[in-house]
Amino acid sequence: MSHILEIWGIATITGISCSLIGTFLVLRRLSMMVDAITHTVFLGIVLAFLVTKDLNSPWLIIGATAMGVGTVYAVEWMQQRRYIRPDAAIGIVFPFLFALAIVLVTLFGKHIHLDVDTAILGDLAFATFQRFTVDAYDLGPMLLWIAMLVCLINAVCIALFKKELILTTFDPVCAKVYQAMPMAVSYGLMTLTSLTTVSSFQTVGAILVTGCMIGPPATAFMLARSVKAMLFISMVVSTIATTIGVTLAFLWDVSIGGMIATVIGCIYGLVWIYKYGRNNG
Amino acid sequence: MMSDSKCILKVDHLSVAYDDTVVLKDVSFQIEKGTMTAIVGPNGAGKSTLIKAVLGLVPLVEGTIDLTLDTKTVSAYGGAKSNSIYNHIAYVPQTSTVDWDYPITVFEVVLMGTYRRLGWFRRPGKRERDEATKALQTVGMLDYAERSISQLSGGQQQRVFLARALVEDQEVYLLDEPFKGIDKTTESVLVKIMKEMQSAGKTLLIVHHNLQTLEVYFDQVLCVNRRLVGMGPVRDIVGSHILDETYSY
Repeated sequence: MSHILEIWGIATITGISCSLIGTFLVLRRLSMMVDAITHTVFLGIVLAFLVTKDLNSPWLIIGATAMGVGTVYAVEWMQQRRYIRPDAAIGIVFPFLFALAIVLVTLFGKHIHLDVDTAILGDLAFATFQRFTVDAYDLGPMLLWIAMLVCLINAVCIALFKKELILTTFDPVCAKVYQAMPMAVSYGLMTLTSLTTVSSFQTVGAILVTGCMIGPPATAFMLARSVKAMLFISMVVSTIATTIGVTLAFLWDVSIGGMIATVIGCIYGLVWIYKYGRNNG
Repeated sequence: MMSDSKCILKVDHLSVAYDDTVVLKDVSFQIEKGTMTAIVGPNGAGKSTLIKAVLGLVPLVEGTIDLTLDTKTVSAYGGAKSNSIYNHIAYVPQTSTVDWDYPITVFEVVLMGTYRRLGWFRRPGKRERDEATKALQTVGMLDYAERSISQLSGGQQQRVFLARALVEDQEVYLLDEPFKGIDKTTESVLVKIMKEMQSAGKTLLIVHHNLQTLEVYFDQVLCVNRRLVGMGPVRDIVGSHILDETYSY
């Protein structure tokens, strides 16, 4: 039972982390950038692993986060160049870097356990195996602590820079006039996105991070009248989806991450029908 | 012409280019304190670019901008980056530049006008909220304070943007097509507020399209078409060859 509870805890905290960051990504219309980042961080992990030869090295997280921010830089740089279509920039950068990671893994990583499938789909079922112990006391799964740390970082950053985040997402031109450094805020947000993505890797996996980051905030966008409400509603939606998702996954013995993302999609659909019906019915 | 003592904004040999394309070439003019100036010209003439250059949103290739305040003069130079001038100019962008489905209330948008003064980390307090309330009252939108911005009409959006600029309480106001897509009633309300700002000693530069209303609203006209075609009091410009020349190519 506690095994299920621990998995539920990891998934819930991860979901809340994703909702916090995702709210501002949805507001900035950067949903598809998350998809790109979730894939390219994999190259950061692979490169850091090839240098350190250690799957548990903190450099993996640093390398992955740096690669995520690098992706945003590369895409935005390309979007401002001639002869490059803005939407094609994402479509070029992300498969290129992700493919590079796969080539590197298959070339040099044959003998190690760096499973491409696990990285893409995640595996919550095994998330509780690695424990966080202090003096032989078991303080719970390592991933739960990582998830809580990342969630805390996200919450603190958003609390400190809420004013700037709202200004730069609502009116980037005025943010520039106000000298609020919209570029710095933007890259700060992207750094947190990368960090959250990397930490969610082992729990929900790269593809489903997109679902967790965009689904609940996009649902909240239809209901909220303020950013504060949007943050709150997306955290609630995420927690509901996680609870239903984890329960169903154990009942039916299916992929936990997959089930959570499916529930998120269903909730989004239901809220859209409700909203559409109310405004057009 | 104008006495230098009353000149608040002086633009000297300003040139602006996007990539390799020169958008504005060698523009020089002076604006007196407490005046309301229309910036006119055909589409693509560089009116918005001129405003953006004065705001520091686009880099100056060449030229100088001097802003003379009561206590000091601040300058921006071509090629150099100086923030001090931009801190004294308020901007009312075209309403189409933001997403009106954004989950935010009218009051919160107006409150943004205090953010520049507050800087990083500080949150708006009672004083800032009072200022926002007062500005909303001035533009006649106090009843809408807690409404979501998605419920506003075009004219109401423009009033909210003007209220946000009022909260900033700057000396110089640059407005980009504030009368675009709004009805006659709202337009006259906005003009009344602008005239009040002018009486309070504020200087306004407004990108304007309707040549019929030039004489009613403005003191002077700045005719732009990639260069400064002409500038002067409204009665000298209206009906003169300068307007024809501005719109002729």
